[in-house]
Amino acid sequence: MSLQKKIEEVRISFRAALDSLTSDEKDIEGVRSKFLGRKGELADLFSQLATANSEEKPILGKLLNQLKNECSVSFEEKVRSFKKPEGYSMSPGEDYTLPGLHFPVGSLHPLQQILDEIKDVFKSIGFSIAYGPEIDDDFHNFQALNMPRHHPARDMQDTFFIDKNIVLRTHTSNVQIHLMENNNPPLRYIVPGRVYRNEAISFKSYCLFHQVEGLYVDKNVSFSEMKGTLEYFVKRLFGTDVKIRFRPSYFPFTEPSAEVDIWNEERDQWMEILGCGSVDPAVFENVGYDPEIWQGYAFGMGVERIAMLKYKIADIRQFYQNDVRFLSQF
Amino acid sequence: MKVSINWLRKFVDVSETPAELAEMLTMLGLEAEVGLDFSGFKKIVSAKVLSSKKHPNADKLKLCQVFDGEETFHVVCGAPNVKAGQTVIFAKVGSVLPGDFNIKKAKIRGEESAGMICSEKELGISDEHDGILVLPDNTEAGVNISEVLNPVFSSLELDILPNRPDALSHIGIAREIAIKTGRRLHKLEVNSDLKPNTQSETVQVEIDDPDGCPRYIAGIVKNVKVGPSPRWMADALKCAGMRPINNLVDISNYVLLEMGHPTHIFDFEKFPAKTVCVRRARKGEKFITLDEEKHTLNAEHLLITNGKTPVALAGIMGGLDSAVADTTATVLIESAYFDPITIRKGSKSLGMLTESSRRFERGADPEGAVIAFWRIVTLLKELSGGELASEMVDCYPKKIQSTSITFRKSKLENIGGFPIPVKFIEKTLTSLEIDWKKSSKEEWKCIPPTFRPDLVRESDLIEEIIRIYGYDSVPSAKSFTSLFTYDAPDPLASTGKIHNCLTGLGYRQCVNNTFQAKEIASLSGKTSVAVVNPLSVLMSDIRTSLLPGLLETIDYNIKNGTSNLQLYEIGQVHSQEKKGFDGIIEKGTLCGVVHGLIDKKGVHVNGERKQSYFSLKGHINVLLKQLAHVEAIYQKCDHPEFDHCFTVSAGDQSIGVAGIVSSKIIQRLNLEIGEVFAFIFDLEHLVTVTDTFVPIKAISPFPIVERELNFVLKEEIQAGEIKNQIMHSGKGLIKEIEPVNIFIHDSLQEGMKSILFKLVFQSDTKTLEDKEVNPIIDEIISVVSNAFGAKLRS
Repeated sequence: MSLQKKIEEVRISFRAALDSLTSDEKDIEGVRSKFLGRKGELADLFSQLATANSEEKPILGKLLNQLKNECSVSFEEKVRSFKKPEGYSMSPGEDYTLPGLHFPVGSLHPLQQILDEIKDVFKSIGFSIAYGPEIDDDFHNFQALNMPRHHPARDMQDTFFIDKNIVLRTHTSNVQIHLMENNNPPLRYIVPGRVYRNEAISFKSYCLFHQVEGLYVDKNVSFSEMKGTLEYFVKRLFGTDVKIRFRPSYFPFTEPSAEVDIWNEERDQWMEILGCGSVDPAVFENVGYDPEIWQGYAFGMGVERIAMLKYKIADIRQFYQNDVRFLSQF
Repeated sequence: MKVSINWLRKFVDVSETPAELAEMLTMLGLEAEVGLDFSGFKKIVSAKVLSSKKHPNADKLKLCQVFDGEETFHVVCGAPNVKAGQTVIFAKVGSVLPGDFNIKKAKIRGEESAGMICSEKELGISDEHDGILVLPDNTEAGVNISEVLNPVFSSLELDILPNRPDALSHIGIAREIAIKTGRRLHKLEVNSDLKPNTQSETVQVEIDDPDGCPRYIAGIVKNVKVGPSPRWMADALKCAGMRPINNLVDISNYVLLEMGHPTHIFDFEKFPAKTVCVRRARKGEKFITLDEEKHTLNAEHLLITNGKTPVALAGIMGGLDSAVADTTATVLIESAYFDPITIRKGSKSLGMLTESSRRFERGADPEGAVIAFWRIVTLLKELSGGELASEMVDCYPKKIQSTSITFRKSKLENIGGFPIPVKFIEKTLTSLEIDWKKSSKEEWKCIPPTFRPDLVRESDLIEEIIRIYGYDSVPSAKSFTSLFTYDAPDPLASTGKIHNCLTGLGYRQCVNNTFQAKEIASLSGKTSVAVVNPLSVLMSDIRTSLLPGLLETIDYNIKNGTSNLQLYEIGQVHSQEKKGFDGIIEKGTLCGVVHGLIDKKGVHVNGERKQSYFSLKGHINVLLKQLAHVEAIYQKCDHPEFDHCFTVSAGDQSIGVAGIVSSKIIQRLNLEIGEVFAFIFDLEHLVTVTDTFVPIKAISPFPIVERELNFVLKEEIQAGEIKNQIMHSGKGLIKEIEPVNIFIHDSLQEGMKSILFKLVFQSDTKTLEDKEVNPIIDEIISVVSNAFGAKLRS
């Protein structure tokens, strides 16, 4: 019998064996060793291939390989079909109501969450972020911002002094000055950071808070543009339905100056959320920018104030107490 | 500042409700709230007192019959001044007085009381609570309170910003209303033609310090009769928050509130030399002010003297000795203009903020001084019968110059960002009482009025035009007018990754106070920066480390029921490294602490697991792998805040320290907490390693080879030392080494332990075979044996 015929015979007998195969382990192992084993029929055929003449060899080799593939694939498939998943079990016992394993829960401080939101909005409209010193000289915190010594506006910010000329910054506006001293316009930055006010600690004021200051300087930056930008910001933070108003105010370093309020339905009143205005030409002169060429706007907001409004927190001291019963709610 | 709406009506028509008026002024930049407004009050009416007799069971109480035009009520009243025939404000049962005070039917000492006769204090008009408010006799009974009292007492509460001294007066507020509404402003007309009477007096003014006192106007009025002010004036003062005293004092206060110019009325008896001098105080000079406070002065303070002794702290407060008394008959009127900075320095250094100093330090009106003088003279004549007895002496050595401002429409519109019509600009300039002249097309030469010292530059006028235009009417631009500049988006952006990793590991972020007691701030071994004017000694210094704050946070939370804690804070710390401002070093810092248990005993856990140096170390390893993709390297070190401390490095970069927190510090802080494990990292260094680009490595396709080595060695030898030695001998083929078991047992020699290391080999270029791995293993065994006296355990 030619090898080719033998190949066909093995194929037929393998198929028959496969058809009658049961899930019995012995049966399976029997078929496996009869055909696919090291001394099985296929191996036998391969050994016979060595004696075939050289012309037929490649053709027979190919046929034999095909058979081998066919057998092993269909055998494994059949064997797999016998296996039924048993299903996993739960331990201990089968009590689904037991708690999960314990892992500690982390949380971002609410002030951080609000700060991140503020940063995200301004980053998305092309503002960069800058940082600056918390302890600064009188020039950067006051004088350069158009608040000379003995200016009544200094009363608006009770100051902690390190010495006569050095203060804990009362706002992050000091960074405005550093930025303009060290860069040429145009500039578009926000400046987050901690600021200090010498105020008695109570439910509504603390000796420090966090502020985000903004500064945008270019040739045609207008009050109207500031209004549009800050409205966009407030809507991103408080939702598009929020009622906003800009009202005139006074800061020595901006002119015109405005205070931005949002309407608080619950309290039935306007709540102040940020101050802003066109950069006062005196500030530009103090840093050597020509106010005839450059103009811009600046704004500043308290992160605590926004967080209190957004989360309805009544006592500012809760932010610095770090009671985990408070922190875990954010 | 309290503003009487009735008073405003003298200068401008007001048809708005108090709330509408407050809204209008707020939108003009004069932040206003409704002060008094009786329009919402119900069941409170005018009523006649029909009879009043002594309460049978109480000496100080009276039984009154009160008629509201329809009904008669029996009321118990405690006021000493209640009398039959009076017209009063009567709050019926069921009414609510200001401050949410509910009126209920009551029985007082056995007598029924069906309501209350109200005092000024109960109505919120003044602090007067000794007696009831008695209305004019011609008031009808039964009229609702709002109709009776609103025309006299409705008021606003204003918060005037420091740049607007002109708005610290009723006429100033009225002017703003007139500008916004286009209504006519009835200016204050004064009669400046009054001539002194025949028995004329003289007074001489000498100004030593024209910088401190550029203008001083004085005059004498004789034959004044001191007495109470008429009702209209007393009511106006009360409504504006000032207590009526006597006609002389009230006139000065009235003019102050009416037109914003502070004046002073002295008893002329106290000027024997008929001379007024303005000079600086001498160092150590003593002076007693009207409020009976004694002051020690210096050259910072400006004084008014009678030529010999001081009579007033200029622009701040008069002296006790020269004040008008009931017997005063001749008075000296002072109406001056003092230098703002001089008054501010003086008032600040004495801690005396008065109605007068508030106005002078913000800039009074040098021309207003003249008007105020004549207004005082007129009122003295009307209300006290006083007659002018001297010329108006006007000593004006240093003229206050008005500035001329060029105002361009182009600049206004460039700053504003929207077009504003010329007509509006000119109308607004006029209504602001700015003296303007068109200098070219769309350009004006402007001279602001003397009562607006805040208007000196073009930008000040730009603000005024946009303010009056209304911020609400300014269109909101919807796009930027220039290109993005985005060179340095956020130098600390990577801190976001730190937050993510630590919160993921179960840490809660904290925010602690910067201020600490000096003792606490110096626990870190650093020199802290002190505040000159701290809130208290417990907050005298600026923190040098975040650790004490977090330790106190642990303590706080334990006391409030949570003791298993993982906390962190990112914040700035300061230390004085060298002398002076430049020696103050500020650093961004990350500090984390763990305390208590990781796992409580439970259905899944047999024994509780405590936080330890190793749980902390595990967190740090995760943090550095996530941030910088490196293994943290630990080296023992000393640190004042730790009992056991290790420096932590990522590659070559030292990041900070970690370890077991010093028990001494916990004790010094007086905290009731257990062992704390903490890390303190330099934020800048952490961000640097995070931001360092690490190129990805190709994944080796070749199989790994695992081997185990079990060394027996002296107990004091640390696993890490062996590990480093093995790594060093690994020819670059060792991917991982980990001690997987440490064994101490009698079967080993005394003082010895065995450590089982698991080694993983892998080559990036080929499949490793025994013939390559075995020689390395032999080498490792020989090196470790030699270096540490270790033996391979059989």
